[in-house]
Amino acid sequence: MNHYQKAHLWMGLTAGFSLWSFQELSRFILSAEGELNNWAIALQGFLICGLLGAITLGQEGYLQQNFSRMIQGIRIGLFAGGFGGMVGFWLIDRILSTSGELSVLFKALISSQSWLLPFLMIGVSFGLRDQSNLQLQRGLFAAIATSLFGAFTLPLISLLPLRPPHAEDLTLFLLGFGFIQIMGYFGQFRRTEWIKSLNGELEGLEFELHKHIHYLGTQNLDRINLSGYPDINSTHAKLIKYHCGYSLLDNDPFGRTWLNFRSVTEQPLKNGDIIKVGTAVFQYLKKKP
Amino acid sequence: MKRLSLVLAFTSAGRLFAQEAGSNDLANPGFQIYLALPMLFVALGTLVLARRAYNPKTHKVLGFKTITPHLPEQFFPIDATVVTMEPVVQALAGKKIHVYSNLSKISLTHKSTGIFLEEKNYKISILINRRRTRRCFLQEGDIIDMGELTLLFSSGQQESFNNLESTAPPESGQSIPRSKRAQTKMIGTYPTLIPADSRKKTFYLTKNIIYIGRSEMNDLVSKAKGISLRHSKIEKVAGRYKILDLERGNGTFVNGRRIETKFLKDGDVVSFESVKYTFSWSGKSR
Repeated sequence: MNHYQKAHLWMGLTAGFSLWSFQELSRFILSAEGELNNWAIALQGFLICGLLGAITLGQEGYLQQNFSRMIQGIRIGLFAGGFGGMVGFWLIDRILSTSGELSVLFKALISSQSWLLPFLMIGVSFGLRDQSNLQLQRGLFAAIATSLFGAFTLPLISLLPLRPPHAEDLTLFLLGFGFIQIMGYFGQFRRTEWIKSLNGELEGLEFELHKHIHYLGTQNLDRINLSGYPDINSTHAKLIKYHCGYSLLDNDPFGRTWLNFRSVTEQPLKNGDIIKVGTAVFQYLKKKP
Repeated sequence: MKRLSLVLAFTSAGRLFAQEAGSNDLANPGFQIYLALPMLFVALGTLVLARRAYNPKTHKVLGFKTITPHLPEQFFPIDATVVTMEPVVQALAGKKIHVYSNLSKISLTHKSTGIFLEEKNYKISILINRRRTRRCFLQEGDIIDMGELTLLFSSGQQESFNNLESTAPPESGQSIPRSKRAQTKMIGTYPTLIPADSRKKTFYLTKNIIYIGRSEMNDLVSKAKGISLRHSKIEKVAGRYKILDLERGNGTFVNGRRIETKFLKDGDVVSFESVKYTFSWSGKSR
């Protein structure tokens, strides 16, 4: 198991435990008589799904210690997940309340659909934040896969003969954990090109290249943020995608950019090339053909 | 956040009081706050563990790490007993990796100043930092290419630039955030385009041909209203800079007059619909 999978495992547990905890907290705060009304359920959906969205979209910035990106992710995730959760939970609760008496299995089947909208919203916002079709595809695939997972697990747990007293909460834990794991799995789906840091505080981290332009500099919201390295300017160098692959461009007259230890202004990249921007060293890698 | 914590504090206090007074709140299913808060702490703990797992801080040890594309990352520590590259390559290279050299003739000498690598083969088969080198002292972060194998040398010491910040004397009385200052000296003097909007960066004319426009593929990108994808071009012609209009619709203006082509002089105001720049020969930013 590599460091990426390990980190996602821990993040999955974080999501699972915090969702479970939020479920209890929201129930504690919102329900005075032990039963939640329709609007309280919508608010609960907003809180729980907003939290899940914030964790999902903020985790990349948090893990890479890029706090501007983390806050951006948390804001987008909170809004998208919260809105999806509010509408999804409210809608399904309305359906359940108007449909009359139903069996436990049918009830569980219908209530499991309340997760579809928040997952889809989070998945779409995942792609929109990065303005990348590939990320959008990954987010949507992960959302659909987790919704299917939820649609099976919730009815299955409801059918257990010795049903645990807090089965819904356990499902919530499983959904949060599963969503982060599936997002982590799809996060490297169809990954073709990436750069790997070889020194400094980002040593060992891999940054996927999926956009037409990636800046290597100290700009706050860039995915590859080199603010921890000296002698690097805000937009020091850029990687531009052409039909044949990425090309490295020196973008700043103050500092130089080296490719394979030679100063360059523009140079196409090939597998295994060493990029040096100021003091930061990266290796450009391509997927094995 | 403050409001949420206040609501939480008041409701929890009220609940505890209500339970003591014999209300039927305990009939409410769920673990309630007694298990919710510990779970929140567990979640915070796993958050810290995730960060540690993602980017583990490894202790630097003297040795070689393989960074060959499509090979799993491995580290081989070296000590005084390792005097050639043979055991290093045996440990790090797989069977399918070809190293086209006589490894017993590539020696590693442990000296007080560091590790000295010497290539004694008739033809140099090794690249250090992508250059043919027969002998050199290995430095932290050196990259060694031997046939299909690529190795990264670790000297066992922290990188020197980590200490630069603390030891370097302050340049001036005020501290400027790193993201907002230029950290290196400029390589030569270039003419500049100084934007009228003081929030924007000064653009240095470092190339012979500079494209200006809305598209990210241009050298000077401006997303302002009225600028086309590729709006105009500045060419260096016999030591002077000539501006050419590439957009018939909106046009390019120098000192308020619409131009097709014009040689730029010091102090000329170049404008594209809503954006203004001042051309400066001196290379001073502002």
